[in-house]
Amino acid sequence: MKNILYFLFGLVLVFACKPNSNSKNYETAEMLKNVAENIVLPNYTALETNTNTLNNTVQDLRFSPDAANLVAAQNAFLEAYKSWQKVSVFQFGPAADVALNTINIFPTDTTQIHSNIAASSYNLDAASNIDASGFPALDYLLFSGTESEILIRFSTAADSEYALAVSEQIKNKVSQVKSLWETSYKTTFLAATGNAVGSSLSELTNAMILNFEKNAREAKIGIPAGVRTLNQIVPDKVEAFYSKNSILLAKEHIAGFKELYEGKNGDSFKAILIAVDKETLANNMSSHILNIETSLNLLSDPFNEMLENDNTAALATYAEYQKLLPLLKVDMTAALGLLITYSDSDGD
Amino acid sequence: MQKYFATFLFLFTSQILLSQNVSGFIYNEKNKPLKNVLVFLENDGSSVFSDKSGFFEIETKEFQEITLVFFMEGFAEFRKVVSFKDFAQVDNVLLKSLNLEIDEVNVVAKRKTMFGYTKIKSIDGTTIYSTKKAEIVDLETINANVANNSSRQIFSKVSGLNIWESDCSGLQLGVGSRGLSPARTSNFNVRQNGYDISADAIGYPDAYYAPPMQALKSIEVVKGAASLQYGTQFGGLINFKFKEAPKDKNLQWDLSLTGGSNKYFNVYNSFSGTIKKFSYFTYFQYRRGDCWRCNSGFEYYSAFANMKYQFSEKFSMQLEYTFLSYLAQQAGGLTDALFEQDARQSIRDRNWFKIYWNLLNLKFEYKFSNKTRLEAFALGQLSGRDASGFLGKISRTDPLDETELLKDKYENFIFETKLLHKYKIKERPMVFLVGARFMQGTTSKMQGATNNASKASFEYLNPERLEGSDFSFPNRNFALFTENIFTVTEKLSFTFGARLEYLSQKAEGYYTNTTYDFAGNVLQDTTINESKNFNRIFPFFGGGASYKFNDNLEIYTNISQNYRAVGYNDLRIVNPNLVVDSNLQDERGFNFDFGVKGNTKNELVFFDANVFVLKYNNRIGTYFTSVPDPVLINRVVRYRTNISSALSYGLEMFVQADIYRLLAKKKENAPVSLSVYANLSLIEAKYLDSKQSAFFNKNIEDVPPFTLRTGVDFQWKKLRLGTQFSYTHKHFSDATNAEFSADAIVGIIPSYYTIDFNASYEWKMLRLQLALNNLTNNKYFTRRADGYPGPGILPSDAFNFNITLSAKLADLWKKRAK
Repeated sequence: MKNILYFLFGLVLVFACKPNSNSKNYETAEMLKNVAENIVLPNYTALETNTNTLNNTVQDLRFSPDAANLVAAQNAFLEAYKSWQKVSVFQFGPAADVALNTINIFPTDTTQIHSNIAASSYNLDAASNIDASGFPALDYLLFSGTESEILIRFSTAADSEYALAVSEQIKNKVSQVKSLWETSYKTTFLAATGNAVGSSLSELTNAMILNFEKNAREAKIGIPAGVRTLNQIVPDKVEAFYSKNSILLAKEHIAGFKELYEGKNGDSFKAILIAVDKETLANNMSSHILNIETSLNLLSDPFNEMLENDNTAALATYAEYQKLLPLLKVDMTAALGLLITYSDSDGD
Repeated sequence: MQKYFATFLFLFTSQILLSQNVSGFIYNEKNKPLKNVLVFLENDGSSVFSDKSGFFEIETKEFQEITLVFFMEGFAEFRKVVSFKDFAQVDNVLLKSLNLEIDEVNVVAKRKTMFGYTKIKSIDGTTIYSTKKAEIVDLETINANVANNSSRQIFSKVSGLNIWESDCSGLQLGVGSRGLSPARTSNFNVRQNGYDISADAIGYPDAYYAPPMQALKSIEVVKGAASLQYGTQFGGLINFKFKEAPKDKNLQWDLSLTGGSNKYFNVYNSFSGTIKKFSYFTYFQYRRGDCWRCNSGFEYYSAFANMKYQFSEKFSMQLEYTFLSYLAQQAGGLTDALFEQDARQSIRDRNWFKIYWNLLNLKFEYKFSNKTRLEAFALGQLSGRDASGFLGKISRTDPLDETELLKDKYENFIFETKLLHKYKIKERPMVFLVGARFMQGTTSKMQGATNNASKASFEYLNPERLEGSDFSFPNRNFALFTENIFTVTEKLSFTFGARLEYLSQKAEGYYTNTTYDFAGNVLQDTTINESKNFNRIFPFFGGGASYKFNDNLEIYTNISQNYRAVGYNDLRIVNPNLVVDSNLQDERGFNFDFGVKGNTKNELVFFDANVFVLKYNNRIGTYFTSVPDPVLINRVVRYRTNISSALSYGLEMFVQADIYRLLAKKKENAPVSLSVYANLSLIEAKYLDSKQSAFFNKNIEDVPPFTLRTGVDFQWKKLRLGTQFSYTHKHFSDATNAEFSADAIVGIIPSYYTIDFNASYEWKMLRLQLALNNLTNNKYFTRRADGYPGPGILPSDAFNFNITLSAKLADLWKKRAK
């Protein structure tokens, strides 16, 4: 008799356990289409154009190292670097396969750069060279020293060859990724609907939040401001240290992040959050992004010099990034049923 | 007055004059007095019984001779003529015991073989199977590749199992049931000869060691309801029972040599025997192989000795020592694309794995009587596991830099005792079992960096300050349990059990928190000490009922609570962004079975079908949340606590039929058997609720919704053939039900099947066996991993074979001696 009761109790348990309605169902097709066509592809196109231009100006500078060519190269560099900021927000898929993010590893290792130049034979794709190549390496080669020092550098065969190799690598990687998107990956991207691990939305969200957390919050602002070193500033770790454009680039980045979040005239994260009845959260996040932008306006280039004077404003900006992070990593992912997959595992 | 007295006197004396007493003593051949001997006076038919001193006294009215006949069960009837003068003191009677000498009897008719399947009794020793879902694999009659530990063949007749095949030669047993993960069989309570063999039964129940199948007689599998007697784990019990020493030989020498694909070589050598009260069973096994995949191979040494002394009929003691050591190179995982291209390839050549295992067990058995017995064991374990390699995503090439080294040590002591007592209430048999368990141990886990270069390295670069973490987990467990069988009628019986569990787990150690800048340069390096303490005590219960229509048909049902203790990986912190709930609970739930089992009257068809429900209330996992922080206002952390509740339910069904005898009705005693079996399971498993919203309403990972194992077994005199088809339906490998991921850590595991063939032929004292595995050379995989031994897809072996030649050499020796 007791066992029949247990069995019935068990049945009741099974059916009484009504699933907790934590997240509603939502469609991702519209968002994926909008993101692919209006954000990803146009930004990759712009980056490809700008890295091509950069490569050309570096070639010109190598063959004819004069002040005019140097200015052209430096301008092209800045434009390319700005385009990169917008693209860095969605480093997944072909970008992950090609390890595109290695074109922006900073601070650059100047010792390694010089030893590569001295060796005159180097593999820029090797793991040891990720911080001796990419934009930060070009940043160093094109901007460190006085104008005449730079021109001397580009008159030296080995040095200018290295600079060209670096810019070629950037150009090739970008082209590769863009071409993959245009040919096959866009289809794959649109087809992988749903929100399980490996779906397009999951990949995109993980890439976006990882970039926000590690690249923007930590690398651009937090680490230089001393957050990870017991409040001791480390100003030489800022982005674009030599070209003195750290904050300018940070603003480009947050603009790109905002574009991806809001949707740029189409559906994106904000739209689907509203679709699952999380309008408050969606608007909250928008206003936090605005706060970050406002806070960035209070910082100035050269950022490293500003830090040396006073890091209070930088810490305040860091706090603004920090306020948005839980909304992204905890609330948004919970609302959309997404899993953050980029954390460290804990062994077996 | 006088008149009455005279009458009385007259009557009294006439009585004396009328009857006499005949008395004497009765003894057996050894001059021991016999009581309860029936003494029969033939003359008038009266009788008495002798008392405990062998004395008898019988009245007679005869004045001359009488004839007494003495009857006693077990003794020859004895007639004695007693004359009047001897009435008062008959000569001592000696009764002779009845001992019939019969010639040696040879049993000619062979018992039908069941090819590995066994019908279960309700109690075996001190184990209660009544009302539970229990299965026993008989390794002596099964057609399976025992020489290469093929678990899909050995467990083919056990219902509802998901079996992982990602190690060569069955180095690591990976079996799960009812939707529970097969990872290192950690959801089963794994034992051998009744004692624990896993690394740490409470906090890290991974079965790195499993005995070689060649040394085993049988494998016991009891599903969920085993929790009352054995404690932790939802899956139940798997108990490996070793072969026993032969009772009729002083020395039996078994030698077995196996060779096979990929340079597989196995030598198994066993000495066993019984000399008067002392019996022993020992074996030594050496195995090696290159394995099917590139960059893999292993070398394996295993030894075992069991020594038993039977002090008396009631009391015996056994000492058992188990040793295992092996080193394996692991091929690592593959992405989906690499797997399609060539499943055999490997892109990791620096992954190494080593274990050493030592178990020393002392077991006591005391039979108070036929009704009461006591068993106890005391076990000491000193074991360890080292894993060294590059664990980065399989989509990255190996940077040939430092590798990760995980070193574990498992040291523990267990004492467990059980008392079983059979008694009757109003002639109904009842069984009472009570037991206690004590375990104390320390598991230590270290994580740091080493450099493998081209050869295995199991030494840390900085042992004093590991780059990862160094934790020690002292633990203690005490449990009391009881189970009872109540027989209400001849057909209906109930079981009821309860268990009280006390657990104390500590985590003490440090982890190194290294912060890097964006380029990977070290910013800061700090050592953070951690200390945690978890104590709890809780009871749980279970019960069941069984109705036996007759000897051939039974319905059974049971419901039993289960728990799975918090694991050491859950208590260990290696990252400042990970917070463990200080109120972390053990995972709790219950198992429910309802089934019918039995056989046809002619014992040619056997079946066991049941439905089950497994409710898992509070699975441990992590989710992101924010905690207040003085500096950062809100800090996002990964919070580990009990997050999900899950439910799996389904059907498990097994049927086996001897179709030769079914069809050829007159050939019951023919030395031929042709048997067909089917083992089917259907499972539905879902997360009902979870704090991790990505899991909500998803299917539980690693649960095939449908598995089928079916086959044909044939025997003719000394020849045995068997073929097996095994199918597993496609299923998800993670809780979000991912279809595909670029790093292959999660994704679908596609449906797969294998066909195997086994043949065996015995001639005198030799036996030749052939095993052909994966006859159709299918390319498939059974699992994905997010860490060891991958990460990525872990392909299973293509077609392979092995041949075994075994000999019972002592028989040969004995013949020569004659």
